Amino acid sequence: MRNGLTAAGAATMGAGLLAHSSSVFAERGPEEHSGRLTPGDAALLRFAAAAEILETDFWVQYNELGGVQDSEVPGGSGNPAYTAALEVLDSDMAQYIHDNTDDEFTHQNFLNAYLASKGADTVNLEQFRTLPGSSATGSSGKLRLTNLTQLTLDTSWWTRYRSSTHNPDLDPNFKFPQAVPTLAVGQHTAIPRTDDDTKDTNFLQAIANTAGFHFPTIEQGGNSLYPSMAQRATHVEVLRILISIGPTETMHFQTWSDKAGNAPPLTAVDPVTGVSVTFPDLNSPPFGGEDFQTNLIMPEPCPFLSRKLPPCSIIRPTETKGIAMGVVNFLTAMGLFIGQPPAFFELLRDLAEDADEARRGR
Amino acid sequence: MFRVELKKEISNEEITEWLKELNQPPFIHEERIDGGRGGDYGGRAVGP
Repeated sequence: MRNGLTAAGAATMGAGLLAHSSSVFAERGPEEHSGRLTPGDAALLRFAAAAEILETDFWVQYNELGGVQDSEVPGGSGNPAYTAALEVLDSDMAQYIHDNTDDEFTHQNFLNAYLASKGADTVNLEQFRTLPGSSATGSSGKLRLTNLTQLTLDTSWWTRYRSSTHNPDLDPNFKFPQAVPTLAVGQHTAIPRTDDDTKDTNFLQAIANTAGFHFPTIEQGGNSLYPSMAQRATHVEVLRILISIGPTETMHFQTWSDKAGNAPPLTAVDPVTGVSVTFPDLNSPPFGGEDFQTNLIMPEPCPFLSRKLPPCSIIRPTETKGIAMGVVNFLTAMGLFIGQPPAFFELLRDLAEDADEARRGR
Repeated sequence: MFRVELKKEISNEEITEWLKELNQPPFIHEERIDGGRGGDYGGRAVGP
């Protein structure tokens, strides 16, 4: 392993750039089956399927506690106190959580079904469903793939999409400031771990605010992942899949970035871990004003491809090289997989390496 | 029936080092997966 490269990959995904992952393990075993797809296309879709399975898992956790409870997304029974704290950000939070969860289910199901329809290997992570999740009222108590209770969030997308002068693809060393600097250090829960977490209203609001920033932090990743991978698709139908799913992640991101801006300013200390978090007033200095007011949820035009060309309103980053491993690093550094065993990380890295090796035409 | 086979061996130590680079704690319950058999993940299949 080339020390530094992988860590840089995680850091820059948050800041908007994916470092080029090194191919550390040269020894090859039997390849996955790609069926009637090219190996590259199958690898791109398999990585997307894995990412969607993981997304589905944590959205289900959010929905069980804070979403609309219905037969479309069954499992939980809702946590009234947490749901109410989320609704401080927007009265439609429960509906949006439900619909985002439903979307991710369809993505994972479609991608695996498409792979199977082409005779290609699919992805199933059920072996790793071992994490305990929340025991608070409303949770189904099922075992989970992802951990929402020890998150470290990079909220620099807030300034990345408001910058008119910096594009992470052109400025790989530029450090976009964090919206909520304290979320970027320490570990924070985005769901009530137990019913005790719902007793202090200030701390419960901090948990809901953390979720409110986790949502766009995640979705902006998908927002970059799909166009980045699409550049290396071979078959036009695979391209169509990637460029049809990707923009739904963008729709999620923009919705959630609007809601995050409504998180009420507060400071709270986690009574279990002692970790402090402060949500600043994002309409006051150093933010706010013409460039940073919270209702600016459409991407500010920025340099694209070359500074010699005029600014353009775009998704960024979309650099394709190393995108999959960058996403694995990004999600791992977020703490989403704390508690998972080495085999889990080995699998994710394997899928990412294959996806990053995909090239148009093979 | 489809399954994805892991095709590279990555040692626990390498993954632990990678997690350190990412400022994350190491895994904590590998025994749930492999019964404590060290780096051998048996079938390791993640397909259905």
